[in-house]
Amino acid sequence: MSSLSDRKGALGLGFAIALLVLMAATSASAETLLMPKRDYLMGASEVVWGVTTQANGTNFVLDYGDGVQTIGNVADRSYIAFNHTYANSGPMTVQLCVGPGAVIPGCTGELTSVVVNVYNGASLTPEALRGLNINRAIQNGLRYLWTQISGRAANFPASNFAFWSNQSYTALVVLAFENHGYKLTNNDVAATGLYEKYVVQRGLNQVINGLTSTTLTVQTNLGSPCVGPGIEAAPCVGFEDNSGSPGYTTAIASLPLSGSSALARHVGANPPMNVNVAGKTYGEVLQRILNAVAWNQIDGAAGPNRGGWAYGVANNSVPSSDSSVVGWDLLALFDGEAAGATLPALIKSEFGTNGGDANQHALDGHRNNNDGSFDYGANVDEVNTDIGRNLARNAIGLQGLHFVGELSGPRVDLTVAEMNKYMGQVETPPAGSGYACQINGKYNKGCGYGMFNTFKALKLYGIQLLPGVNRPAGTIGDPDDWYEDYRDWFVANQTNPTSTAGGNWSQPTFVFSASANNDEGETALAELILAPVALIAPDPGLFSTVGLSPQTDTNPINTPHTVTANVQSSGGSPIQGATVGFNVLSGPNAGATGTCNPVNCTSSANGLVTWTYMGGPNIGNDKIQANIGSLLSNVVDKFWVIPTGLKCDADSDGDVDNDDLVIIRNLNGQPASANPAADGNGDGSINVADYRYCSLRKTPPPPPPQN
Amino acid sequence: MSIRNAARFLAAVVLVGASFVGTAQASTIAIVPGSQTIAPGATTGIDIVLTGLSATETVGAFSIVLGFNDTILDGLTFVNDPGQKMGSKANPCAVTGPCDVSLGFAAGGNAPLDLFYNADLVTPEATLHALQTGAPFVLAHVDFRGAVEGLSPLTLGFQPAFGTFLSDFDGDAISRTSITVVNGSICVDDPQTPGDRCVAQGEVPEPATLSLLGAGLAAAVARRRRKAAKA
Repeated sequence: MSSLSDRKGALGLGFAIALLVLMAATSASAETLLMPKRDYLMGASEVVWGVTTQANGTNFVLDYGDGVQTIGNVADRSYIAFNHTYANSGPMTVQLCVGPGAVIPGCTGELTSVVVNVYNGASLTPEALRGLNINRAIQNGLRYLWTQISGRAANFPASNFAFWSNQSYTALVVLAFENHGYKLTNNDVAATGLYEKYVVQRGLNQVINGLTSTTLTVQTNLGSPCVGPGIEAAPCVGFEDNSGSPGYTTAIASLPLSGSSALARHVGANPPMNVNVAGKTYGEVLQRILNAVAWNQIDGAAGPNRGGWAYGVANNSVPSSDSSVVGWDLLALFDGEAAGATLPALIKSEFGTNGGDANQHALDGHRNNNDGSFDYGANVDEVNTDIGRNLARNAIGLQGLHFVGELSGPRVDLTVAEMNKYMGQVETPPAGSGYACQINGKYNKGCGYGMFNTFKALKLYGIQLLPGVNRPAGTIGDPDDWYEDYRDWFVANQTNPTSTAGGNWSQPTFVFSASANNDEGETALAELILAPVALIAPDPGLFSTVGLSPQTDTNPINTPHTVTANVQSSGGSPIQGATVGFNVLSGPNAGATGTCNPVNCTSSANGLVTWTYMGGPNIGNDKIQANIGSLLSNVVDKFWVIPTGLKCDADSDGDVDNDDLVIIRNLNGQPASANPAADGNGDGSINVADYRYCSLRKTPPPPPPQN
Repeated sequence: MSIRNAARFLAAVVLVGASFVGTAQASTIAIVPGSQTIAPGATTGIDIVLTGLSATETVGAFSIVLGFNDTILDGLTFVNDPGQKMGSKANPCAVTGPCDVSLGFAAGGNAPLDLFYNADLVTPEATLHALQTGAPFVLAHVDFRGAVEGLSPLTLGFQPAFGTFLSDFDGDAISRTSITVVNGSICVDDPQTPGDRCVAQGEVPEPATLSLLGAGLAAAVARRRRKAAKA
């Protein structure tokens, strides 16, 4: 018989085992996540937040990394959010511990952490402080979109879908997250990361599950819309989004798929998806949507509407083309092409005027050649000044020119000049108006649809400066930089960015369009404009491994060096409209500035951006990295050396002789940049040691001539 | 002891003290003698001496700018490496050119004096090293003439941009941080009218120095009085 104390010991051991088993079970099934890594401003009240799949009421500790903690019971497990003011700057490790008796340190529940950067505004340059505030605005806006997931608190974490007001806003929200770098992997591996798993994956589920099948047939002029690998010949199955007017909702539904960089991923069995899409790859789903977009292109009899798009499906009929719808369909085709999808061969020429017939098509039907504007209707009315004409439509017209390959010329210049008339202007929509964009016909700052189309058009053409912008005095950057003007405007007009419920862009300062007013859609548009890409972000895996080249290069000091960023989709298709940053991380030229080609560092049709900087006088190894927003490229090496062939040959005559020594003598005390060859020993300056070095390495005199 | 001698003594103390500044293994480049007094119109010379080279250091070339007050002193002549410790001057240090590529004095014997000298190209490093460390290594000898009364500092100038003023045998820099620099001065003072020429204008002696000077002056006065009494 065992003693009481033995039994107590046995009971204690049993309890410990049970606890371990319980903990293991909890760890395996539960999940606690913090917001993604981000930047904060010291001294400002900032929102720090996370989620847990453990039950509401569970103990938690949120440790801000600066010695301050918030302790309590989880009230809303889908949004454990608190305001905190950092008194110090530097990297801070935020930790969230959730579980019975949660404590930090020594968390025995679920513990997760993220390192955030807190900056002291007083120690930053004005440019850096502005950049910080832009980053804060982006993160606060994305957080707002998180809070607005329909039924978030009630459905988290069980739901496999995420929804924002309607299918189209949902698609735009997902694209916004993708364009800020939150993407799925290009395989069937389950998503990880708070935004990737709960926003992007579930948002894509929502968009994909909302698609319906339709039969696509051969069109009179376009031919077959059934293109792309694995797509059956006409008649084929296309996918449409009929949640609204399929002329544009179908186009918008394609956007998050194009932006996913995950076209090899499969629509899985869990959650159960509609039978139309189940089991298909995202690439196939995208292709079938875009085929429907092509099928929806106005076809049939010649005329100014042909090649355009209307609110309804057009298949071989000739409804009136609507320039707003055209804008969304063009975006779908731009993004889809960048993602590597196939477009019917004639879709561009059908839209433009080079389709082989003598009649004007939609591009010219909408376009006013007198002033370069783009009318609401494709009526070939050159004197039309109806209220439909505005900056948004002009920008769609400019995109149209780009779509048909008209990258320069008088028509482009005329439209840009027309757009310039609207630059710098601000909409002042009255509260409660659903048509605020239309009040004074400007469609610029304050009108989401106008700003978004302007953003796309000007980025695609690589236009950075417009004289009409005329930013306020004291702003940072070029006074004619329209995009910096936009970014300043967004930072200044975000609603309650540092409140747990805020971070949105909303009426009365910002509305979606002339016919829509929705905070989620508006915030999605703002986030899309604040993203570093006009269309879609590149494949993260490719960009982080081979995005920058050459991987290694060696050149003489005091010469220029050029690196090339390659912005490409997962299938290798070039992506235009991505703004690339470059940074010499370390080495003799750390922090160097350089110049881009294209000059605004935005990728053109080939997806490439080059950056050239001048190597200084010092030898060594520069480490260089490119970035598209928070997406980082591979790090490449540049080795700067003294050119062997030139060493000591200060007069570049092919030998080292007294003439070279005289030059070195006269350059005594100068930096190597004065004459790199004169810095014979390569220590960065020209001095007596180089004289000695080179005198020991003089070219032997030629042998005397033989008789 | 005269005031002038007291000043010399103090300068010597300062020099000795300065030679102990820095690490024990550091080389020293100094004006020798550190201070001296000459009459107007008289000539004198100074050496620029390098001591304390480490076992791995051999001077292959040097570049020095000697600064002085060219109102008080006239530069006369200079000789680089008078002891030929950078190789025989009969040996070439260039195919056809000289070892000495100094710019010399500025026009009219004025300041500064630019010295730039390269060791010959045939003497082995080990031989040069033995020569340079076996006895005082005089980099250069410079002669001056006193022009007018006054105290001229002698400053071993190494323009900041030069960075390097000593090259090793192979053409790599000998680190400046391992070298202690000791400057000097020449006082031009008429012995018939001894005065305070040897105190730099504007220089305010420290109280301790003043007391030493006072003690020296008192001793000199007392000694003169004793001599007068004996006479």
